[in-house]
Amino acid sequence: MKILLVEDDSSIRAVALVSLSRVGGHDVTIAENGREALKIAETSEPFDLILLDVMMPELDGFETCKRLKLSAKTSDTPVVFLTAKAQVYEIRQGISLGAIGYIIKPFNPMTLSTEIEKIMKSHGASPDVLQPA
Amino acid sequence: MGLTALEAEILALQISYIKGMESKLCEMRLACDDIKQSQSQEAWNGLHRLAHKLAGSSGTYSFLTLSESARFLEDQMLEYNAKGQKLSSRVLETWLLGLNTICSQYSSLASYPEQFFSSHKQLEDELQKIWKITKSKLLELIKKDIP
Repeated sequence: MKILLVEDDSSIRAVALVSLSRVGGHDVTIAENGREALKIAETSEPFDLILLDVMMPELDGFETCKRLKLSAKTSDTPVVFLTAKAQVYEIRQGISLGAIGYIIKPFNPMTLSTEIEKIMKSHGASPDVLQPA
Repeated sequence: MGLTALEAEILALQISYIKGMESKLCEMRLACDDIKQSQSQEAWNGLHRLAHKLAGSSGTYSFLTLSESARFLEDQMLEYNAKGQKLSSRVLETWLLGLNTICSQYSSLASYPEQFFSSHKQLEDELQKIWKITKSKLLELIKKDIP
């Protein structure tokens, strides 16, 4: 899968990158905040998935998701939140904005890719999308 | 016991995270100082954001007691903020002291990376005991300070 990882914390970026690329075999592009993510998503080849942190400077994950869903280019790209904001109302808010799933931090680097693939499958992703890049 | 390349890569990241704990602690101290000086909502938001990030990242790196202590502060701040109340300086200082102890204990893991896996579990058990004492002290202080 071609994944856009949006995360402002460098230590999380580092471990998620190892997890997604080395464990899952996915092709990962990184954005350090929501604003950068919107720019990358608009100017790159479409991503199979956008993995989005919530609490970020510049533009938070909820607002970023809202804007991704408003853009013709990115409105169909699945969004999954990867966040420590795990209150029920926060999860509901994320889903109401069009995200297909919610992964709670802390996450297990060895199983992150499997969790993502499960969410993608449950939303009808075809097996070829789920293949390592 | 030999490590796979992937395990070695993750171990290197964990060691690097431990080495960065001191600077995270420093950021926390600065955020607490900022609160003491300004008492502004912005300063509280800054500390809340740092605690939230620390809870998520340290847990992902398997530093569970550190994650739990950061989550505790985050939750307490949220709870009392919702009631229009704030944690006192002595609560923040006690929490910082506890965090300092926890982080300095983790640093021993970085000194002997070859023993990381065998020592980590044992260290978490010891840190849980330390955190339990700190947590009950914090809850007591919070109870006294916030009616």
